[in-house]
Amino acid sequence: MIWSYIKIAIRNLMRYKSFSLINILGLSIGLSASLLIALWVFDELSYDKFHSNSEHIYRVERHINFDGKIFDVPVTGAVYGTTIKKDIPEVVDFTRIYPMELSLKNHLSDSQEERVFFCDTGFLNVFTFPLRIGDPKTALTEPYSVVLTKKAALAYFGEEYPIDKTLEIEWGDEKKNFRVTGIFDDIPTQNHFQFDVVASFITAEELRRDQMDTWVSNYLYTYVLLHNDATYEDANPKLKKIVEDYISPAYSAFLGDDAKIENIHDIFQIRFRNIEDIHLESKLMWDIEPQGNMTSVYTFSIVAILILIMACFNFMNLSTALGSKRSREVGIRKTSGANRIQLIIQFLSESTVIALVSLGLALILIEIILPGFNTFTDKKLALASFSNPNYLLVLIGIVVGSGILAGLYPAFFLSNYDPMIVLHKNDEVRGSKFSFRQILVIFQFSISIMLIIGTITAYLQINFFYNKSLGYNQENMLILSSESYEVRENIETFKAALYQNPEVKSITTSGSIPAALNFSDMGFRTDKMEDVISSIYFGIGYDFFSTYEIEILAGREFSPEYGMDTANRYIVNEQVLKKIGIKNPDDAIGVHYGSFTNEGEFESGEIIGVVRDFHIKPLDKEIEPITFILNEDWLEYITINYETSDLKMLNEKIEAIWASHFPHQAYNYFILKDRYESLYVDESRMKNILLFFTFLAIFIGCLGLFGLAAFVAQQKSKEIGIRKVHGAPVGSIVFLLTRQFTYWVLLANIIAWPFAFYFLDIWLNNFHYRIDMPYWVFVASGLLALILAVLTVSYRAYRSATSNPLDAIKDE
Amino acid sequence: MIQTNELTRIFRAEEVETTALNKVNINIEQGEFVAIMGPSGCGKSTLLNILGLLDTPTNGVFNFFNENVAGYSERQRARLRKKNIGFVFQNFNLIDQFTVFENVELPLIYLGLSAKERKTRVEAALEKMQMTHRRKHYPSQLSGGQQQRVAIARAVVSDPKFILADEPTGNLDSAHGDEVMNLLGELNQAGTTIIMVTHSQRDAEYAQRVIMLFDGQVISEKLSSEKSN
Amino acid sequence: MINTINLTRIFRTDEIETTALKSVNLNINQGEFVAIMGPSGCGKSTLLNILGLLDSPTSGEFNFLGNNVAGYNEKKRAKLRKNNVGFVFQSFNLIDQLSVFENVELPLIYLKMSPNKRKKLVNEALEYMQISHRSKHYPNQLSGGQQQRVAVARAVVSKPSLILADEPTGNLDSVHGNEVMNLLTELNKNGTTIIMVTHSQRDAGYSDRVIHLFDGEILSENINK
Repeated sequence: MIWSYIKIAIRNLMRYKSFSLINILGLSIGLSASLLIALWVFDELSYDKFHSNSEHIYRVERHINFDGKIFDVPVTGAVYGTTIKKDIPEVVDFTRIYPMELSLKNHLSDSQEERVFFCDTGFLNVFTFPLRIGDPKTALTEPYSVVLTKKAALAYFGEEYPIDKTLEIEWGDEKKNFRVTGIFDDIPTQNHFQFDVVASFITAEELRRDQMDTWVSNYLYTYVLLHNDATYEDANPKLKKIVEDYISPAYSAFLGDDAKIENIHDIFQIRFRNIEDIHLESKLMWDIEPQGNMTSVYTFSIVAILILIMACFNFMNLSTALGSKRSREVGIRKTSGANRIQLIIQFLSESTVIALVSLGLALILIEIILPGFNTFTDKKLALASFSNPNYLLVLIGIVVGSGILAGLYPAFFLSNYDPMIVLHKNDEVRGSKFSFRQILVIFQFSISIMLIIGTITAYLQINFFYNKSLGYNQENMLILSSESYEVRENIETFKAALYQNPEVKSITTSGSIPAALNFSDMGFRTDKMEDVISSIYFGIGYDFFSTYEIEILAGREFSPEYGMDTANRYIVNEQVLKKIGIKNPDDAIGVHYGSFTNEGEFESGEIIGVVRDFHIKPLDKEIEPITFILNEDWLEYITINYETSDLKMLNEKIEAIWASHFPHQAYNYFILKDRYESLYVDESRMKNILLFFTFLAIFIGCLGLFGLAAFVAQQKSKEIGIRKVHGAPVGSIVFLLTRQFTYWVLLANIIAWPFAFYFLDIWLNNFHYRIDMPYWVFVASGLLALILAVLTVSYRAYRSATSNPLDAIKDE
Repeated sequence: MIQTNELTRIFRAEEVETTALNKVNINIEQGEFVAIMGPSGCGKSTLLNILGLLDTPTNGVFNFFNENVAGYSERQRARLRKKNIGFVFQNFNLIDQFTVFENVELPLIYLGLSAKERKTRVEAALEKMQMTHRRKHYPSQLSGGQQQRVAIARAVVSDPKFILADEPTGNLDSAHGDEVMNLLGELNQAGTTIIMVTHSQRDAEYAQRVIMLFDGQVISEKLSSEKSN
Repeated sequence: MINTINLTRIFRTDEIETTALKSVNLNINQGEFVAIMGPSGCGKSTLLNILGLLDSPTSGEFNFLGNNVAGYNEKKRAKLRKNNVGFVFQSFNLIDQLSVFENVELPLIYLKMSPNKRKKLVNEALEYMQISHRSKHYPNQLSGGQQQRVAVARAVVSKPSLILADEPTGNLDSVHGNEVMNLLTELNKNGTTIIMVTHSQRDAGYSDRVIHLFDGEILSENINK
């Protein structure tokens, strides 16, 4: 019996070829889109789950409530790890990850900038990163040992067997030799930190002895492995004790003996965050890497569901339309003895067969699109993921569900036909429940319109972001970066050589750049204040403000003419003035202002300049107080403000100059604007994906509309025939059909607009700077949908209008 | 076998009430070949639908093998139908996506017969109608007369108690029409009861008895001049 | 007025070729009331369709008001149709979504008449058919007889020179059927040429001449009066 249903289903497919094609195409596209998104969502949700201990791995974070601001900070000091391990029995093992950007070299290659992770031996025990070659117990125990990924090994050693070979790492002005002690297996991509080079932590202890014991300096990541039966709650009281015993006194000292810290537990907490929660839930500054976020996951999931629903409604619509061509068949079957249930089962199996065929097509489509999609989303998604039983269940559920859902209405609708009526008339029966089908079409179009509005608005918002005045110059800024001491030593001659070129307008150096995510906060106050304010601490070189074109409101820039500038001279922004209670920038000049030494003593300096506020952090954050200091030691970035239409040529020139000054240093450059935009890569990606899926949604919508138009044209064929008999011109018939659809689309707009407004308003409010609701987009989208609908339907209507009237009105 | 008493059928649509059948009394015995005639609009199609259990009367008694089925629901009627009645329509009503074999097989599927049994019966029916050589063809590949023969094969394959034929030669030319009527005549001689609606004098002559309807009422019954039992 | 020479119509589908009309020769004068009869399948509807310019012959000549229209395409036929022919069908063929008034108005809209002129002609036609009191109703609110009266009103509203009727009493009871036939007779008395297809002896009795078709050919012609 099932086999005969399949046979019928296939024969019906062949008979109504164009309908079937549209139907299957629509459903396949809908399925592949949703499945693709499903793959992406699964991937995002499965970050860090591959570790065998993932449920018990936690990152140590600091929760700080200071001066009215709350920070959740994932960076800690070295001493956290050792102390926690010592004082908390629930902690089975721990590791620190201390990332440093260093120059690496071996005798084969030039030096490369590489992010090196200095990690304890625990790294290989806490996390599940198996070694392909090497012994996890000893690979990171010795100082100056390093473990590489396959990619790094290939880069530094080519085809050579790398174990026991030497990798040279620049440390300040010295070059240290590291021994390769292991090679990692492939690292999964669902890892919240990517790495290629891991060195032993004991090396860092030697190299940065001064940093190892302090509680007030935080610059690395600490992870702990808890005992299987232990939870964060168990450890919490002991963490509190650590805060009392070590942190409280350290900060007291730091802030001055007279500063008392009451309620330390309100101000400061050590927290554990489970590793599985990091990727999507934590959106913290100073994260080891920019992570994803739950909003994207939700958004995409909703888009996927919407598209799937659209495709299903389409399917339902077209199946019903197609089905009413078979009213006579229903009558015959009933006359031959079928009861309603049998007919329902028949139609349901037919629609399920079609759904399965669509699934097959969808899987093929996905295979084709996947490589491009992976490149775009920077992932390694694969269809094989569906072999996981959980995913497979979801997949089958979706397909069978759509098949049944889509087939349900037509099945009930069709099995209801009265054989008496259908057998004596030769025209196919008009469905009495037109209204339901109307609702489906209108619904589909509403969704399409909503998606169009959403995408255009998202696009506008992101563009607005990019163009919003940041307060500093973003255009024509070429930045070179180097950690190398050699470069720092010879910076002045290099700058002089660059200035020879007329395209170079201004050059400065700095320890960081605007839009970077890695600023430090410190406590500052004037000598008249009791309390301390929190301000970003920014080390810069000469000519910073002129290069970045930031307005100086009072005072001056740092200058080599003033020797004292190198010690305790500060330039501050307007936010600092607000915090220290000075209204007029001119009044701030000369004010005694300063910070604290590592030992906690207040060092008073002087404010020599005030600059206009600018967005040192991305636009969706508030502007914070910034204190600038002249720091010649920490000058990782060289910013060049240039003027030329041929950037490529200028870059080559500069590279040549670099090469002649620093032949052994790699030339790393980027454009400031690109770097800024990469911060929004997530939003940007979302925008692009939304765009893609919007086109998809519109396409599916039109597909459905086309099929429906064909059906309505057919239903009205008798009327069309009669009109033609009486001489109706083609135009009037086309007009007749399009008019009805126009009405439906207008209705769809009325439904779509309020929903779109509501959701967009919520999304836009996530941004610190947002555009006003662009009402013109609503109108434009509605218009677009209307035009598309009219075009689609007119074509079909034209076909009907030009057919032979006799076919439609035959009495026999 | 079939007997109606004061059978009435009224159609109501919005503001209009049409009395299609007005207190019809008829009696049909097993083995008869009865023709129902009358001008268009006389109610013969309506009567046929009721006799064929496709419709229910508004009033009156309808005895079907000694059961009064006048008040039966569609489900009950469907069950009775599939066991007892075979249909032949004016426009053949074959399923275009089915082969000849599958078309004839259809009633047997709903009777729940096994594949083997179905095959046997279908082949027998096709033999009788001389359509065996076309069993794998589709209706669109057959002439009108051949299609009607397939339809008759389908009507008899379940061995029904009687056959209902609605203008069986309506869409056929004279030659094929005669063919079909001969077939029906043969079936009747072999014992099948046949009730036929027609407006063709010529077709009516194959029947033994002709019931004349006019404006929803029986106005006369004639024994056919040629045939007698 | 109408004249055919060796008119032939062959239908082809897949593997089957059916010759519906075989070399039909006939002549119909202005003002005649002609009935075409024959058993089912004899080709009378096909003939009517061709005469009514709804279909084209496969071969042969067809002179309509002096022109050989045998090779006309649908566009040309439509033009000729709307200016000259009114149709009455067995199943009425009214548009369910339009009111009685709008149904009758239909041919005039396609003749591009002004609204005022249309209104006048429609009301005249409704009066004539004695169905004015129902002009705002919809077809499904009318009985079969009333629907056919509306259909006839539509057929005459543009005052065509030729009316084609295909089994006009087919779906009516005897009383209403007679009504319609009387109407047609009256129209014919006023000069309209009527060609009617029927299988009812009784209806044929109203015509001047009966043409008998059988298996696509003219068998005989009888004069009635």
